[in-house]
Amino acid sequence: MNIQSEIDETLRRLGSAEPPSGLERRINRRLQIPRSRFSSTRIWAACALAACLALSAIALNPVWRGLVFHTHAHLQSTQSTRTIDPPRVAAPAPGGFGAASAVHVPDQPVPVQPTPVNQGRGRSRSGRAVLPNGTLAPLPRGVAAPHTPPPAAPVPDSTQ
Amino acid sequence: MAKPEHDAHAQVTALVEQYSTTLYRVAYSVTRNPADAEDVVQETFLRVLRHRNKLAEVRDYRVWLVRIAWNLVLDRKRRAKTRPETDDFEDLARVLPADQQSAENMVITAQRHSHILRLIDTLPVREREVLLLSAVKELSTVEIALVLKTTESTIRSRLYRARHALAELLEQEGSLQ
Repeated sequence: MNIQSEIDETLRRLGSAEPPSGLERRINRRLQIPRSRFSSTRIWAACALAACLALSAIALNPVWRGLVFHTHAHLQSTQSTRTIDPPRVAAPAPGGFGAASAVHVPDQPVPVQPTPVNQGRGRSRSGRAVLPNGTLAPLPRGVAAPHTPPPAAPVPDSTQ
Repeated sequence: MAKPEHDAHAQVTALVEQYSTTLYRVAYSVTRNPADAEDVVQETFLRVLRHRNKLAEVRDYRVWLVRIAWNLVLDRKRRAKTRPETDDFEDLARVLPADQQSAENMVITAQRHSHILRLIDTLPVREREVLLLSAVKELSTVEIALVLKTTESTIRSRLYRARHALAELLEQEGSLQ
C-alpha cells in the first residue's frame, strides 16, 4: 500500500467513526432539562406553593393571625352596630368666635405681685428646698455642691 | 405563546436526528475520544436550543452546526490538552470501523493509522484543520470553506499542502527504517 492510499484509508476511517448507540436519544433527553426547568407549569406550581406556605404561616402564628384578622373583625363588628353620623358644622358660641373666646379677659390690667422668695416654702434660687426654720434642706446623697467653709475667727495678734 | 416554543423544540429535535452523526464525526476527528466527542455534540445542540430564536435566519443548518461543533471542540482541546484516548492503538482498533481481517492485521493496521494521526497532529494548524474536516465524508470542500470562513480555493490549496507534508513525513520515516 503506498503512502497516499494509507493517508486516504486513515482519513476515511477517522471520518466514518460510528457514534455510540443511543446518541440521539441521550441528546434529546438532555435537551428536555432546560425546557422543563423554566416551564410555565412549574412557575405556577411554585407560586401556588409559596402562597399556601404564607397563608399557613399566618394562620398558625397567633401574632400574625391577630394582626391580620383582628382589625378586620373589629371593623366589621363596629360597622354592624353603629352608624356613622354625617359630619356636622358646629354653630359659633354666642359672644365669641370659638373656645378661646371663653377665657375671661379683665377690663383693667392686673398689677404683678412680687413673688415672695424663701418664705419657708417652695424652692430657693439654688434649687434646694427651704425648711420651715429657714435653713436649706440637706443635699441628697451623691450630689456634689460647692461648700464654702465658715469664716475663720479672727486670731489675736500676738505681736501687739 | 407556547406554540412557537414547541415548534422550536421540534425543530431542534429534528436537527438532532439529522445531523448528530455528522457532528460526532467532526468532533471525533479532533478529540479521537468517543465520550468527549459525544459531549461536544450535546453541547452543540444545547447552544442551538439557547439560540433557537435564530433558527429562522439560518440558511445552511449543516454548515451552521458544524461550525458550532468545530469551535467547541477546538476550544475544548485548547483547554484540556489531554492525550487522545486513541493514542493507544488497541483503542483505535476498537473504535474505528475495520474491514473483515485477522486480529493480528487489525492491530498492525490500527497501529499504522494511529501513527499517521500523530503525524497529522504535527502539521501546521491551518493545514491540519482542513485535513481533519476533509476526512468527514459528509462535508464538501465548499462546506469546509464556509465552516472555516475562507474560500474554496484556499481550502484546496491547504489540503494539497497538508497531504504533501504528511506524505513527506511518512517517506522520511520509511527511508530511515
